[in-house]
Amino acid sequence: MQCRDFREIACSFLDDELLVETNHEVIRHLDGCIDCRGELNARGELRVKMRAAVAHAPGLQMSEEFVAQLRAQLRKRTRRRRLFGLFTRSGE
Amino acid sequence: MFRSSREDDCAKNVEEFEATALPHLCKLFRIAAWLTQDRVAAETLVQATLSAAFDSLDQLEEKQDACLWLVRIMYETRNKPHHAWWSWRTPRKLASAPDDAPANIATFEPRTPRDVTEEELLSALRGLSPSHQEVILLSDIEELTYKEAAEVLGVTVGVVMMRLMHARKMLRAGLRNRAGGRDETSSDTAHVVAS
Repeated sequence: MQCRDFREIACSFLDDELLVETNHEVIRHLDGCIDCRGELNARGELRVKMRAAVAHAPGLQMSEEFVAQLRAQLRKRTRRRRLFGLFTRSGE
Repeated sequence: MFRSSREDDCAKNVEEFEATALPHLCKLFRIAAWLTQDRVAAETLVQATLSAAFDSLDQLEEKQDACLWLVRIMYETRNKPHHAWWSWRTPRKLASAPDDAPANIATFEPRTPRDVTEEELLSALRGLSPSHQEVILLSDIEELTYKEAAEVLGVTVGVVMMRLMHARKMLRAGLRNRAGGRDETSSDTAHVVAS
C-alpha cells in the first residue's frame, strides 16, 4: 500500500468500516510509515475536536425549559389517552 | 380509589417512553438544530418526532437501537409534506445529486492541519453543502455507522461512503485554507509590527 492509497481510506480505517484484509494492509503500512501515522492521528484529533465543537456550540444546546415542556406535553397526552379510555369504557 | 389497569398501562407507557427517548434528547436536538439552523424550528421538529415516536413505541423492537430509531423518525417527520413549512424556515435547501459528483480535489492531500480552533471547525463545516454537512454530522459527530446513516438518509451505503469521502476532503481543504489565511495574516501583522 502506498501513502496515497492510505490517505484515501484513512477515515474509513478510523470508522472501522474496512474489510479485514484491507485493515491488515493498512496496519502493515502504518508500521513502516511515520508520516501516515501522524496523518492518522491528526484526522482522529480533528474528529474529536469537531465533536467537542458541536457539543459546545451555543445554538445547538437544548434549554432546560424545553425539556420540561416536552415532559409536560407527554403527560398531558397520556392524560388525554386515559380520559379517552374512560369514555370508551363508559360507552361499553 | 384504585387505579384502573388502563391507567397503569398509560403510566407505564410514559415511564417506558421517557426511559427510551430522554437519554437521546440532546443528540436529537443537536441534529435538529443543525439541520434547521433555527431554535424554534428545531424544538418543533423534536416535539413532532417524540410525538410520532410515542405513538409507535410498540414498533420499537427489543434489540433495536433506540437512538437510531428516533433519528429515523425525525427524518421521516421532517420529510413529511405537512411539515414542509420547515423548509422555508430553514435558510438552506437540502441538495443531493450535485454533491455526489466527484470533487475536484487533488488525490494526494497535504497534511491535515492540527492547530484549528472549534470556531474554525464549525465555520468550515457550515461552509460545506447541506448534504455534505448532514453526512458528517451523522457519521463523524453523532457516530452512526455507514449503514445506519444510509438508512436514515434513505440512500445506499455506497452513496454515504462517497459523500463522506468528498465531505471530509473538502472540510480538510477548507481548514487548510483557513489555517493558511490565519498564518499569512499573523505574519503580515508581525511584519507591520517589526517595521
